[in-house]
Amino acid sequence: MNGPSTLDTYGSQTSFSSAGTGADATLVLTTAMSVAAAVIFLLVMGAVWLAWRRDRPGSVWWIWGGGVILPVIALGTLVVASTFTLAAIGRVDDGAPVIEVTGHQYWWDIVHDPEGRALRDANEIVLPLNIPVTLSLKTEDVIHSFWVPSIAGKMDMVPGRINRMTVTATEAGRFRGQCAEFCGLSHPLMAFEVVVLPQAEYDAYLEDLRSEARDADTAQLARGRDVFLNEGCIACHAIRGVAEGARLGPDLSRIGARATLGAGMWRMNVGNLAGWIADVQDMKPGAQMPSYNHLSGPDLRAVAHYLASLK
Amino acid sequence: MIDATADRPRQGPVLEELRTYEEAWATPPGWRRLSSVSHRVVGQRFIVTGLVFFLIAGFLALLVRTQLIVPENTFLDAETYNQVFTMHGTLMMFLFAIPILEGFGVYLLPLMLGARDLVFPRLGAFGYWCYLFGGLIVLASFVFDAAPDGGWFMYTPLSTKEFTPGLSADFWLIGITFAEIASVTAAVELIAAILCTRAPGMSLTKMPIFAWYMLVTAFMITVGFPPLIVGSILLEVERLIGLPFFDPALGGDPLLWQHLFWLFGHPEVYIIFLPAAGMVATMLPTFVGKPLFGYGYAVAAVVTMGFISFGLWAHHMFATGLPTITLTLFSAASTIVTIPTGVQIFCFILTLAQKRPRLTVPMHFILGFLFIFVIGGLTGVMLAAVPFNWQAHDSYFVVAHLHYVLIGGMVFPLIGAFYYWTPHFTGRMMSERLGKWAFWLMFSGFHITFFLMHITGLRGMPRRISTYPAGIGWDRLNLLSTIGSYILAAGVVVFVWDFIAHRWRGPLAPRNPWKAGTLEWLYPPIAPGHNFHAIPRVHSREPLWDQPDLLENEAHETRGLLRDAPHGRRETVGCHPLSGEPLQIVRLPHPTWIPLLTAFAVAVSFSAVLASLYDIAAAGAVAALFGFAAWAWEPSETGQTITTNDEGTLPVDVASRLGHTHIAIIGTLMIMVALFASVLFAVMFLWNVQPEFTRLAGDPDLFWTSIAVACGLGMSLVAWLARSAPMAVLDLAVALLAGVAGWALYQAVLPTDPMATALAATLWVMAGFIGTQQFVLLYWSLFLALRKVSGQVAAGQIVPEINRVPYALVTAGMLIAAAVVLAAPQLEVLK
Amino acid sequence: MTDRPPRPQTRPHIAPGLRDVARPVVIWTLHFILVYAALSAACAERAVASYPAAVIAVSIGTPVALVLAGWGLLRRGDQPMRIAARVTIIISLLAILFNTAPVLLLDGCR
Ligand code: HEM
Ligand SMILES: [Cu+2]
Ligand SMILES: [Cu+2]
Repeated sequence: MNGPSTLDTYGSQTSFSSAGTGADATLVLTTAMSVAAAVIFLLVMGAVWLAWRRDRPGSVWWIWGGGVILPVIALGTLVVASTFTLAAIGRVDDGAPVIEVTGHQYWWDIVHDPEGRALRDANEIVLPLNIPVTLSLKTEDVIHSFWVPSIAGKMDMVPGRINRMTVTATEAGRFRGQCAEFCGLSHPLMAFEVVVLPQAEYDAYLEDLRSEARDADTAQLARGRDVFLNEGCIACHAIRGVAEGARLGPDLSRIGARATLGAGMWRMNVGNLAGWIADVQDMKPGAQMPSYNHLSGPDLRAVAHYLASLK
Repeated sequence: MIDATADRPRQGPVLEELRTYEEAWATPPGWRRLSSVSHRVVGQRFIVTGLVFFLIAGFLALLVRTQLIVPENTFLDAETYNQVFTMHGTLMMFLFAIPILEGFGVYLLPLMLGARDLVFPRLGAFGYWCYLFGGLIVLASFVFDAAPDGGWFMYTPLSTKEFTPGLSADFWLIGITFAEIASVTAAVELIAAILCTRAPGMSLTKMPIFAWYMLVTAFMITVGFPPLIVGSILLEVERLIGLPFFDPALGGDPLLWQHLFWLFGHPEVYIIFLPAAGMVATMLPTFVGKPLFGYGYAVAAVVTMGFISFGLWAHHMFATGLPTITLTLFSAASTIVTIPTGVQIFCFILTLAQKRPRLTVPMHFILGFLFIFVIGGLTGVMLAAVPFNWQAHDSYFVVAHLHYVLIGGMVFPLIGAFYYWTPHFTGRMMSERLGKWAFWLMFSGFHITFFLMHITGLRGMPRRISTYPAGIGWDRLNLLSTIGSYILAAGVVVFVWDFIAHRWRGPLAPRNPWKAGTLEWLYPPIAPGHNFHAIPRVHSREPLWDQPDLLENEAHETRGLLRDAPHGRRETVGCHPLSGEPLQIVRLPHPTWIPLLTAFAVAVSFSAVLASLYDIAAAGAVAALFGFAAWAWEPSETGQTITTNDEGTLPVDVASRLGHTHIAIIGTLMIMVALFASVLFAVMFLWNVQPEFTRLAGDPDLFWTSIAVACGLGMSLVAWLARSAPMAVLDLAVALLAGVAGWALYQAVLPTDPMATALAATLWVMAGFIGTQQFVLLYWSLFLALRKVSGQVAAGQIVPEINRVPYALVTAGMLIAAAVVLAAPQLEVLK
Repeated sequence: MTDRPPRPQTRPHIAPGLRDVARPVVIWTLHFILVYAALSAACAERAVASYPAAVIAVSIGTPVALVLAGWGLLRRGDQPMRIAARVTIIISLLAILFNTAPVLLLDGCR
């Protein structure tokens, strides 16, 4: 794999530290169930041990007690508890702001407020702190699954359906998510970042999504922009104010501001950007983007710098 | 080591009457052994082939673990990795677990039940060849560099032509469907064998517990495999000619595949677990020296598991966006299935309590099974809780869980079973010392590998990823898991070495080496090639414990049924399904090449589809039909009688609904009904989730529909009449009516366009399925007519007529159901 | 022909309770299908039935199923099949109850 992975700099991907209401409620359930399971396991093994040492038939009440009565009590409790948890975290809040996330082989298209302002971004989802948000999950091709363990459990993106899930992030910071349904060659390279911002910063972020991308204000950046416009990049990628409308690839209007490249996989910097453009298929086999290995060195550098400047 | 030569049992005929008997049952020597249809030979073939697939799949697992040993490893590229884990899952689930367990069933059941062979030896042999050829097709994909890479559950649309061009998915679909034929034929055969060929006096409640487990398993296979067969056919058809079953733009739904797959997939894990649990329930009492505690409880547990496990499939789909209420239904159903499991585990525990057991190698594996499987069951309950499932699903937690259940619940008992029954296969004992090494290596390696995966999964690692970045908290866990898997593999290697080497190093096995109570140990375990010279009457569930005369005499001097029938034919006693009292003599076939040739014809046909050579495919299918006809052509022997000294006069192949062929037809019909129900499920499902598409593709023709129903009813009526008046004319009438019904059904769906909507396409499949049923009846009836005309059938030989009735009735029922489905949308509008 | 007593040809009473082993689980199956069908009818795109209708179907079907499955629970006897029947009945009753959990615990499709 090319380029150093830098994920140690990112937020967690573990479900053990919870930064969302869904993950939080689930963690409570997980802990309770794990403890109960451990106790039951020890009880059963204790029964095996007793049985091993015993030398005469036991009572059939062991079957009733150990095989029926105790399990039914435990399972009944479990079903009730898990169903109430489910009802709480599975409820879809129709009034909450909507973020539409569309899975593509192997990246994520993101639209904030799709019915209204339709602000587009990709591979990095910004969520407001402590405010419920409804994610509307779709796919463009095969089944993917949206999963940010620290914030909530996963939900599949199934062709022909829109699955909705309301999440509330309860801790500011960065969290890593990853596609959890096998979706083809580069499924392992289909991750993303979630950034949780306090309300004010979140509003600023949305505002930023509305405005045009940063201008190319040096000669090299301008050259990079021209490469971008002339080499066919705009067939798939959009940059607000420069080339709009293309939807086949991620929107690049603020790619330089994102922490990662290639859907949560590599550190965002000029070197990695250049490597990516020159040899996508090596970094991400099967990605729907051709490798631009015919670009001249200076062109490649220019376009990489240009993209890195889009913040 | 004991010097076993001393009590090495004497082999070979000592009684004159034994000679004809042994000649009749002799396995053909040399390469002609391939023509053998004996359950011993076929069972061992299944077992050895399954073991080979296990080793291949295990090797693939090591490749997987080696790739994941460090982050960002470049040992395998993504494509190879995907092929490797897909083939690992596929081989393990389809070509190892089920066939090897069925192999044990095929081998052991007649011996335990007191039969000389299975009732349909040729079917068993045919099934084996289907399994082998299907498995080879799947493996051949490696050679063509087209190994399937879509995961063992092949989710659509990733597995459709658009996203998986090339042949890899076709290899999977065709090879696996072919191998599944083996599983369902073996299931029918086991059902008939268990119900119809038990020793005199072996009523259902005196049956060894293993037979109950296998009986329930076999029934589960007949109902559980059809959804996947239907799903695979739909997907293959979509791939080949583009019918849009799974395409939401044309009214299809990718979730349809998931439903069909898991309707199979969940029962499948119980199908894998139950026979293994049955082995435990057989071995455990031997080492404790007391019968299984709570036989009735165990039977109840097995039966309820067999049913309830069909109501859980959607717990594999909790994250697909099903309504909360549906999630809750499946969540609750998934938790309650632990009750029968718990009952069963406590039966084992109480069995253990009766006496201090002998700590042999199989006993180690049984204890290992209890330990691991209980953990797997508990994590299974956790996974049934939807919120938790949303975190754990498709993560390494699930990988951990499924291996706890499968390795703990199936592989450990299986290896124990190898140690236990190998003396029966080879006449020699495997090594106690190596066995303990194998156990401890496997046990510790297993936990190091898989226990940690629970944590890896909850730390967010998804399954099926060929690479992962460093520093997210997965590095060390993966390293340890990989090391553990090498230890586990070392244990497997020790076992395999022992299994090979014991053939020359192992001590000769004495008679009944484990002091077991079940009938398979009656003969000294140096394979004599035949089962019972005489079939003893059985008074208990552990005849070897409770009927001391059985072990006091030389085995071939055992008193019992069929001892004095020295006419050189293979035959066994058929019993009443419930009471086990002798009912008939079942004539059994001698070695024949027909099963092999027929399976080969089918294999040619399937591979030709894969290569898009449809002429050859058709030729292969026709050849297979001829094969089946040749198979069934032999003269009927119904009506003959045989006088036995013990049980009076018994008819040969009794013409009764309790006969083995009729029971087998019932089993077959369960498969057919389950296939039809799966198609019907698909129709209703699409109708329900994609309402806008209901009538977009045109309406079926109701006139022709009613003609089809009328002919179907007529066909059943004539078939019913033919039972009391077996005449060729009536057979021709059945054939004619069946043909017309099929044709009319074709006309009925003709106005709809299967390319236009998924619903219409599914209706065509439904019609096609019933058409196939009609064709079976047509072919069967023509065959019967031909036999009558050519004088193969004497008066009173009406077994086929009796068997045809339920087939015709069920087919007519399907026609009526289909007619309702075809007419409903139009009638709805009238209203 | 020998002079042995005739073999039992009709259903002998060797397995008292065999039917009681099969019946409860079959009832469970039917009940499961009922609940699944009712929920699917009410909660899928087509919405053939309303949610209350589904609840009514389940509330009528469940007591019926419980009675049919539970029939024979109190029959005595300790032959293996009798025991098996008793255990099967109890497990089936529990499973039927658990299948009603969704309508008991929730009040709508979502
Ligand atoms: C030799 C011991 C075994 C090892 C070390 C092992 C290891 C693994 C690993 C690491 C995976 C996950 C691959 C991934 O998600 O990328 C896996 C998947 C799987 N294993 Fe095993 N396994 C073993 C034995 C078995 C057995 C005995 C069975 C079944 C009888 C089995 C059935 C499966 C299945 C069904 C999958 C899922 C495949 C898929 O995702 O399509 N494995 N195994
Ligand atoms: Cu993916
Ligand atoms: Cu399952």
